Amino acid sequence: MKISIHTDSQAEETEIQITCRHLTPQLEKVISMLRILDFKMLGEKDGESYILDISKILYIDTADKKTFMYTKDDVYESCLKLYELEEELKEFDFFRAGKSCIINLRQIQAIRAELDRKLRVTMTNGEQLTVSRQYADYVRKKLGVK
Amino acid sequence: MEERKNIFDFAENVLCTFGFMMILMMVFTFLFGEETRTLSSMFRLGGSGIALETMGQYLGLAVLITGIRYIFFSERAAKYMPELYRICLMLCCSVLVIVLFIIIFKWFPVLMWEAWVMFALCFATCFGVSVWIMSVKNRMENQKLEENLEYLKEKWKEEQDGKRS
Repeated sequence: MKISIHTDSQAEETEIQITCRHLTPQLEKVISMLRILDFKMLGEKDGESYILDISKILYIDTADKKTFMYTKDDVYESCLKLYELEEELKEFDFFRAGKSCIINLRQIQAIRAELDRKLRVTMTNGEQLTVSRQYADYVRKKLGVK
Repeated sequence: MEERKNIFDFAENVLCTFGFMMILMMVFTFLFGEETRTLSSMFRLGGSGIALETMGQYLGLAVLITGIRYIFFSERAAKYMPELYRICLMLCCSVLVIVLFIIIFKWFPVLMWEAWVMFALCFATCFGVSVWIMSVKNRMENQKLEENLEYLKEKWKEEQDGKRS
């Protein structure tokens, strides 16, 4: 693979151009990572690719080794693994809620502590999710309760 | 969405409950062991110790109580039952299991009403106090969580408005 970097002080916007014979899963991953830098994510639904605004994603989970991103009305598949997304999305206030779930803190409507030290969060679409004990303390700290 | 529990998590909880029971039993054995030696199978060694058989019974009870707790605090139960119902049902099941253990293992004479009254009083007091402490603590935490979330939401909104203008 050839990587060329061209610096131009006159350039108005950073542009990344990829020239390839065809898109491979590895390339798709690279593109997805680059999209995150631009506050966007690449999601697939019914065989079509969509560019999603990160702030519109409510939560991300995994099922059958696939990663799914949930917005208010739709579900999109991501080519990235959950741990890769966790790292990249930390700065956008996403946090790990369990072994298979990452939640967008900014999309939480309400939060409630359960008696067994877990947290139950209600997302802006009304869906309820559980933050396991292992990760609940991080949320408590983030909200300044601990 | 719930993190799957494995056998090690369960064992950890069982041993924690068992450990707590054993500490209480040590205290009771020290205080009342000699007096109740003939009345209760739990204190048949008097003040000199807890019988292996009794410890086994307590381990069995810890397994069942933990199992009941896991059932009523599972994701599925939480989806279909309000928290209050779950706590009440958990309490009923726990009492039933303890009563069965009292009868089967003759922890005290079944026909001795004073013992049952004392058992009910002790159980109710411990349960009442722990529920009260837990619910007050929980309510305070919930209030703080909601307040801080609201504060953060307002901060994010201001940030967004600032970016737009």
